[in-house]
Amino acid sequence: MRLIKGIITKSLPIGNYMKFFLFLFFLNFIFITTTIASTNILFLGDSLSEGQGVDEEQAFPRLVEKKLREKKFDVAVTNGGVSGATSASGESRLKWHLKQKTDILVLELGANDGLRGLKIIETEKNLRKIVQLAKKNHIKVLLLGLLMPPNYGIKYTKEFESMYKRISSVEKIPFLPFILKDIAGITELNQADGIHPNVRGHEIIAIRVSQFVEKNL
Amino acid sequence: MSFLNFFVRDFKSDKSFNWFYLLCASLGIVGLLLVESFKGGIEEKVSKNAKNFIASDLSVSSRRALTLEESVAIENYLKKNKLNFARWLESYSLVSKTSGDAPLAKLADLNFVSDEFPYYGGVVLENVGLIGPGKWSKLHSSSTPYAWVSRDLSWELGIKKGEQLKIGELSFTVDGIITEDKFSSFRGFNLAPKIFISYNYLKKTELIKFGSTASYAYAIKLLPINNLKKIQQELRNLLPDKGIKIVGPEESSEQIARSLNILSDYLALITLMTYLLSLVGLYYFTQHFLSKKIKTFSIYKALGVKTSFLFKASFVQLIVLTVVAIIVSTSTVHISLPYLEGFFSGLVGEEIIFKLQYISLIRILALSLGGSLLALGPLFWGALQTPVATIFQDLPAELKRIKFYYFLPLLIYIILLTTLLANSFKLGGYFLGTLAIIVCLAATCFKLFTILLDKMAEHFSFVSRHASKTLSRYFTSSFTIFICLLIGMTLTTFIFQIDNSLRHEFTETYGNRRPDLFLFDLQDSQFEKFNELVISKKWHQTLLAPMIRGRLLKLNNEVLQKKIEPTSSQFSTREDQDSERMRNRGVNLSYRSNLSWSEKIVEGKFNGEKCNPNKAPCEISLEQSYAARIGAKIGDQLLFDISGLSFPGIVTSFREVKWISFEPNFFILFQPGVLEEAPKTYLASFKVNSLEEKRFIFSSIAESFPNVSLLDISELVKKITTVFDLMAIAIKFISLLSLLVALVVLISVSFNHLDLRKREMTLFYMMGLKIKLIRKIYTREFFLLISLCIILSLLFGSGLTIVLMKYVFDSDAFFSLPLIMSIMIGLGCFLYLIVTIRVFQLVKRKSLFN
Repeated sequence: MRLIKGIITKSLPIGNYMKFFLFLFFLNFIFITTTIASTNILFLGDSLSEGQGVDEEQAFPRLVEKKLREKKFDVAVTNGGVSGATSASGESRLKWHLKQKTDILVLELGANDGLRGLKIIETEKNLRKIVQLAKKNHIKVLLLGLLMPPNYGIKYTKEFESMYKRISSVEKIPFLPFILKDIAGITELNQADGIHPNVRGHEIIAIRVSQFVEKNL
Repeated sequence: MSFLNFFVRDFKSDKSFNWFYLLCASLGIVGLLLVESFKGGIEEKVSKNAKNFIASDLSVSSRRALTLEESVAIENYLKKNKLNFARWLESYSLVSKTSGDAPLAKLADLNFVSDEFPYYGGVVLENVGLIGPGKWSKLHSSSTPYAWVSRDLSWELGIKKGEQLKIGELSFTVDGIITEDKFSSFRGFNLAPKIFISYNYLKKTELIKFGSTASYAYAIKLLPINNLKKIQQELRNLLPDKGIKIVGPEESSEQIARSLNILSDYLALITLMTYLLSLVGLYYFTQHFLSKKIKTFSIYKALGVKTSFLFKASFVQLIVLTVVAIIVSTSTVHISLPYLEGFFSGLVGEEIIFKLQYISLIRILALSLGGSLLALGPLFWGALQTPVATIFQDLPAELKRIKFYYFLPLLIYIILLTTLLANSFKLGGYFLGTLAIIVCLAATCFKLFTILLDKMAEHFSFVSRHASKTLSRYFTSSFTIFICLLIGMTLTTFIFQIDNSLRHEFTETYGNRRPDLFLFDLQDSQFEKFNELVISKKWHQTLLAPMIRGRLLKLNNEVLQKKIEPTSSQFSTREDQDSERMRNRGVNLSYRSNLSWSEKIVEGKFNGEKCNPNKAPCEISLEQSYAARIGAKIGDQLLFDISGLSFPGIVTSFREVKWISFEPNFFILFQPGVLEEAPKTYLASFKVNSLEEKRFIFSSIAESFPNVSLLDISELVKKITTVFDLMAIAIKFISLLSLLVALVVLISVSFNHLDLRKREMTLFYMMGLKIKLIRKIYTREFFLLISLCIILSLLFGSGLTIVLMKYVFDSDAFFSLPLIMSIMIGLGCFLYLIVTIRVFQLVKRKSLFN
């Protein structure tokens, strides 16, 4: 500030002008590297991330990338979604992706555990292992939450919902409660199986998730 | 003399012909009737089995809640058409035992069914038995909510009959333990054990709300007058969303539909063969009869009787005989069917039903009459063309006046018949085409055989020389008997070969290999521990395969994925996009050093050696139907995305996969050496020997690998294989029946041929040849014919089997050479023995001059 004040208030000799331009160049460099540096985002998830039944380009991770880029964020998204994946596979899959530079991990797992009625304690243990591995590798973790359909019973659905909240609070990671909000159960937004979102469903998820990611970039 | 008087007199004079014609025609018709009635019965049984799967004649189901408008439309339509229906809702939920220690919750497949359910099928309850249609009232008790729980779930929860089970917000009393259920799941397989509960308690469980996942179905009972296809179409018009499935029994299972088609094709072929065989027998016998009757015809003509008059009399004779044969055979079959059902049911240990539909009966009768007239009419017409001078000939006249074009109507009739019976031009075409090739090849072979025998005859003994010379000297008659024997024996070979191949296809190949348990989601990190467990416990693991999820990006550098614009119209016809989405969807990949037993290479070469991806793209083997869907050819380059990394590969082979093996198989197989490091899970399948072992595997896996899912697919496999077993029984039974007809025809053809030579035998005797020598001449002649027939029938029968298995049944022929050779040699010896006995009967001093 003092330097800027000096520029305005005083005329500088040639040597000082050189210093000033060098300083501006430095400032510019700092700006470029901090605000539009390439950020690698990994979506580690299941069929929702993979985009089962839709084109990969229409699956929400790719749409999130598109939306963020439209907002001039230089992000690169890797879609690590695997249909049918449970939380148990998350750790080994993350290890595979660690071969590449990853800055942010968007974790979307656990739904298949719930649909298969697996013990919530096991799912929680697996998800926390993934979070801890990411943290150890200096990767920021964003957690996407899911809910179980009501037919799984009140007790199980409540426990399942609170599991995500617990992980978020214990591991101190940002958390988006239910990515299928306003999509689940709506025929027009889902495929014939009644579970997987269709193209329009993915677009809605992408809006919600891109806002969440943007907030935590 | 009036026509009637002449006809009666002439008819009476042909006693032996009439009796044999009646016997042969009746046998053929009985064969056809039995085949048709068995076919009707087995199809009904298989169809009933398929109805059990959907508990009804027709099911309307959706994996989303039907809208009020849709429900009203369905129900109004059903009421308007006076059709009964049951509601059936299937959903997954966590259920727990309400008593005991800490509640242990397990996933269950809940089936809420209304009072009318089921119309077909049922469940078998432990210590109670089968609870079929109309016996489900206890489940719908208004005072106590009851549940019928699958045995697996009772094991997992440790729950017994009479104990309480919490489902949603309601407690149910376990009223029965299900040991077997006949229904299939709307999802194709059961992720969890089943529970049946009354639809009346659905609301009280509070499980089905907005956002719940379930399959909503109407199980519909049709009336006998209803046309399934018409009703399906009318319902489809009311419910345009293809997400709502409207399926009949056959569509409920792809395997069953395929099996039914194969069964119908096979039975149609056998029907046709049985018929053609009996026609061959009749044709040969009539030819023999006419060669004797030519002189009588000549005498009639010399006396001034017109040829047309004589033909009319012969024609009426054929009609009368065929009608009598029809009456005799239909009555015999009608009377004996109940006994046959009992007899065969006892024999095969499975309820066998014989059901003869009127339409089949009319078809057979028309077939018998039409075939007889068209096949034998030309023979009579040809015989009547013989000049009157034949009277003065000493030897029996040959039917030389018969022209080929006389049989053109028969040929057209057989083509039409084949198409009609086989319900397909393709099947009929293959069958007739192959038979035509066989006849042409047989004629060439026989000609070459006689030339060869002629040349070698000088080196033979008198008996062999005479036998071989006779074959070439009387080429036409020898060829006729040869072709009759060959067709009969070829069909016999074919029947056994195809029986063997189809049984192989349906039961033997898979019978002992079909798994009972299917395991998935085993992690890489758990692999070693799992292997140790399997080895230490000596479980029968049928397959263990790595599974990697990927997405096909490019085919020959062209992007495969197509964007589907989210227009509203497409949401209403989602399933229409299936084939296009095949290209968009993720795929499961694997790698193998060796192919599993349930797959084989149909094109190209499989490479199971380790590849080096740094040197060249690795090789890929594609399942043939998948390759066709994406339009890939051998040599094409594919690019896969596997968890964010690109993997190129070159298609070097196409595989055929036996999906009904129920083994874990993949559309895409990479060469080892490239996918090992990729994130993967493992699939495994097990065969178990007992319920206890199954229970033990379940508990061991649940304890050691809580994330791993284990599915019991034995019930599903059993449902499908029951159909296959029924088919195997059908094939066996009908094959034996056809063989019986074939045997009678072969014997009759041989006997007639010998009878024709009786005059020659007498001449030999008069010339001073010893009886023993004369017998040797004829038995040697038959020995040569039968030997050639055995060799050629083995070749032709196998060829016919290969063609039909490949092009009609879309499968492979499996030959059991020792078995078929033993059968054919046995049949040859039997025929030879019969012929020898007949020769001994004929070549006696007394009978020679009779």
